[in-house]
Amino acid sequence: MCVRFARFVPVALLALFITAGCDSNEEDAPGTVTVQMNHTVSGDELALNSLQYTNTAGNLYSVSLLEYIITNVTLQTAGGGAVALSEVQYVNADDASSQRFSAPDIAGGTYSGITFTFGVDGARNTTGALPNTTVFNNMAWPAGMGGGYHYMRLEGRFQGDAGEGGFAVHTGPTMGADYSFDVTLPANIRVDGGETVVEVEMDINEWFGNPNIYDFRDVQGGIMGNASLQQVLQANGMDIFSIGSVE
Amino acid sequence: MKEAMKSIACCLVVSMCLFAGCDAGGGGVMEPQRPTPYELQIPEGFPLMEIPEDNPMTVEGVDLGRRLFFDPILSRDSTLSCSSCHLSATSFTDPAQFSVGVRGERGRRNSMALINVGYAESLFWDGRAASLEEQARDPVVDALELDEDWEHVEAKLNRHPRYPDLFEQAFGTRAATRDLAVKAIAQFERTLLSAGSRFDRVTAGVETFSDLEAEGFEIFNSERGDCFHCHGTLLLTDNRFHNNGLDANPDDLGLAEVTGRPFDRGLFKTPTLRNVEYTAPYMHDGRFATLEEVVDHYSTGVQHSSTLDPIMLQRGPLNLTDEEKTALIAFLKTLSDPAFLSDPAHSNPFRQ
Repeated sequence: MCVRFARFVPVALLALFITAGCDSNEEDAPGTVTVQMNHTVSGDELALNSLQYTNTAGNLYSVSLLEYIITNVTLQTAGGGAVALSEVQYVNADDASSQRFSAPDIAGGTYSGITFTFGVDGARNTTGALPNTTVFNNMAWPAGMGGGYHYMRLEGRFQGDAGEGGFAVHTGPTMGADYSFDVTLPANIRVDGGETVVEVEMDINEWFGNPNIYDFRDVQGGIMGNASLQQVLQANGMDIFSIGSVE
Repeated sequence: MKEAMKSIACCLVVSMCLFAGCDAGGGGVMEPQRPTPYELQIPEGFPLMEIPEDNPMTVEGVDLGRRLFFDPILSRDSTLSCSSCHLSATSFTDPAQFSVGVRGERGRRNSMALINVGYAESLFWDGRAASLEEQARDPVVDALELDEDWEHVEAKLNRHPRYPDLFEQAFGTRAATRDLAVKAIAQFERTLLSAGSRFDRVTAGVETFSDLEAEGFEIFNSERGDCFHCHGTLLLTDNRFHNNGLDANPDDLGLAEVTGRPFDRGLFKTPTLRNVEYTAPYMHDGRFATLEEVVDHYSTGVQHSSTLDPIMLQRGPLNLTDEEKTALIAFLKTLSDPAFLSDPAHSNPFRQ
């Protein structure tokens, strides 16, 4: 009897090695993946309308409005595949319900990260392309300036040399150019039934200092028509996101 | 005998036919007629309007709401109605700076124009009402407005020769209540849609702006004037709250009266600019009598305060030229929809 069973041991061991190398565990059940967008300023949770933050340029500032659009939110597989989580998402730092979105029935298994486009990519960023709702309509980018939609509206106040100043960091498709950018965040994301929550953090100070210093005192007037500043912000935006936690 | 049996059988058949046409039960009571769904015609390009699940729109509900809107029965002395301060001829606002209530006293804020108000996410200049239904309760009990209380209103409605029938048709009950009355008024207000302006025809491509109007639109819809950030979308409002620099130290705290938050001091709801040509005077306190005064304010009159909108804080004075001001006003007048003012569906039913 022992000899009979022994014949199956190598086969069993072989099967074990094969399944251990796969992303998909046959036992992983489909589940819901929830993305939670969080906003920080150099590691501290963002408090709106609170004059307490200092950027690389030394501007003491507060944030009164942060809203933005991300698109093509996907889970990445180790093999280079992608599973869609959300095609377009509006996020407002003052609206908790907008900061959290879920995708049900995601195939069980382990994923290697999350990707999305910050803003709406050029090909799709045309007026009327997004859902006809108040939040998206308010993000409209004037036709005379390229049409489509803002990527972000980040507004607030700062202490300038001559007193209080304001900033309105509005990014978008200036004169038809595409300043959106792709974000890839590696993470070990396991889906096995239930809900998996992936926290994505935006560090607002990264908009203003990495790699380019953005000094509010140097900005005169609106920036929606300023290609140079849009390029600066696009470059700075590349490192603003990170994974907070996966649970 | 056979003839008698035939007669009995005939009676039985006739009786069966009669009873078959009746509802089950002892009294043969007809089911109340269901109200007729109201097909709201959403203008081309407008977003879908959110209708509360507990207040679907019906023909009977809209009709009842229209009657209540124009009926002074809602006021203490039956002299004033909603329409007294929201006149259809001026796009459902009051040409007076402050409306006069039943007591002969004036309110403290300018009457807001009820244009596309079904899209509003909050009502009143300070946003204290979250829905049209909630908003409609207030003016009835406001001592500066209709100066009544809802118990009295309900009593008046319930002893009225017509309203019990109208409430039954709209809501299936003859008992008029505050909650049903405001639902009806809200249904009527949701029909106040305006999208027949020259601006709409230009947007649809069937007309073009004059050179002056086009110049004004460019100022409005670019960072030159930056009007679009608050008065954008086809609704010509972002439905948000801003401090647009009227006062360095605002007496009227606006949104902060509701939220209690210091950074909301002096913020007021962005009104729509549709029909702005008809809705003078302007601002929450009606301080500006003309569009020229409004444009002058944005050009060089903005006052700094701790809650001045960041966009305006960043931009500083617009310093528009005289030509730019003229052009901007020319564009603003393309937002006029005169048909909205005289639409029979919005007019006083007691004068027809």
